[in-house]
This record gives sequence, structure tokens and C-alpha cells, in this order.
Amino acid sequence: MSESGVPNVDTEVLREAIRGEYHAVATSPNQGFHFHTGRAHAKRMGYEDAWLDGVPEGSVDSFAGTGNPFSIGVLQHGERVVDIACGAGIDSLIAAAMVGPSGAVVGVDMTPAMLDKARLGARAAGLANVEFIEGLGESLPVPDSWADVVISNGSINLMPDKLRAFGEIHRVLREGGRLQVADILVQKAVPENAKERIDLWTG
Amino acid sequence: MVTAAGFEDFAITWREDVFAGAPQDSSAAAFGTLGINFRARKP
Repeated sequence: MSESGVPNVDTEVLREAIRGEYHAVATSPNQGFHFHTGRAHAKRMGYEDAWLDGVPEGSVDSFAGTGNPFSIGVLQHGERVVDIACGAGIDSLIAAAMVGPSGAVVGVDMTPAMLDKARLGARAAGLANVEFIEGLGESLPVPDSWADVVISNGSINLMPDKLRAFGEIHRVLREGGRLQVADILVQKAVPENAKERIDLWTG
Repeated sequence: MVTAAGFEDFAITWREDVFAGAPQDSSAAAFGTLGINFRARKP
């Protein structure tokens, strides 16, 4: 581990491996992964039918979250939302429906195939208050203090520099803004040499 | 780490083994990995 606490892993190699994994989730969501995907998984995570009914099936198929940011609290009309590592857009589209036309949602992801699917989903759902931008959680393409809420689902664990990622979330949130995140918790200590193995980051 | 970044009111609101039964084996079980939901607020 470096002095900053960031694991000694080649960040670009790691990101490329993650892009490859999630390209497959976008293009072949039913092939079988080391995590669950799709509507049944979303339902198990507590997603309500009313939320999913407005989301095109392509975005639901590629859902691979580790929880449910909306279980922490539904979003309010007019709120501005950033969805970090939005994937095929299921959470962004649900958020766009919750905040309504007076609100706005920005979904950020680094995997082009996921962004393509998310944009298709927004068009199919007729949602004009959501946009999808290619970018990284560690350097969000969002102005300072823009967001009322930041959501994310299963992505921060894939970022080597987590303090930087949370710093970016802090930067884009307004004062009093909320962080509603699903991710993972590792209960056993992970050896330093394991943190340097990209196959363990992606599997 | 969340509080180190300047947030307050941090709380984990839910946790569950979300990897059990997945189609492919993973390293998740070896490290006791759980899915969680958490919240925090910027002061």
C-alpha cells in the first residue's frame, strides 16, 4: 500500500479490467457473473414494482447493484441527483421519475456500452431530465455544490482511491446534501498482496 | 473514510449477503463480503 493508503495497483489496468467486466454486463447480462443481475435481483434488493415499471427492460436486465439507494429515502420533486457509476441507468431512470421534470439527474459511468444502454433507456422511457456522461467517480464531471443527492450502487468498492472518491462526492453536494449509497462491506481483513490482484477486484 | 471526507450522520441502514448463489464463484465469501446501504450528509 502507498503512503496515501491507496493500494499499489495499476489504476488504468484495473479500470480496463472493470470496463471489460461491465461491457459484458451491458451486452450479455444473462451470461452469468460472480454477482446477480436483472429484475429478480433488483426485486430482492427491495426495488418496488412501481419504480421498475417505468424502466425499460434493457436497463433492468443489466442491473448489478449491491443494494438499494432508494431504500434510504425516496427523492423529492425538483431535486438534482448525481448517480456515480450509473451502469445501464436503472437508478438514474428511477431517480429521474422521482424528481420529476423540475429536477435533474446526471449519470456518470466509464463503460461506453453501459452509457449507450442508459441513453437508450432514457429515450425509451421518455425522460428528458436525465443525461449520461462518460467519466470517473474520482473526478466527477459535475460543478461544485450542484447536487442535492448523490447515489451509487456497487461502484465505490471498485475505486482504488476511496478517500478521493468521497471527496468528489463532498465537492458536488450542496451544504446539507445527502449521500445514499449501496456498496459492499468486507468483514475479514484483506491482505495487502490481495489488494494488488486485479482478478480479485473484478471477481 | 466517509466521515474523514467531511460527512456527518453516517449510518449503515441495511446489510445482506448479496453474492450467495451467484452463477459464478467469487472471492466474496472468502472475505465475508456483504452488500450494504449507507447514508451520510454534507454539513
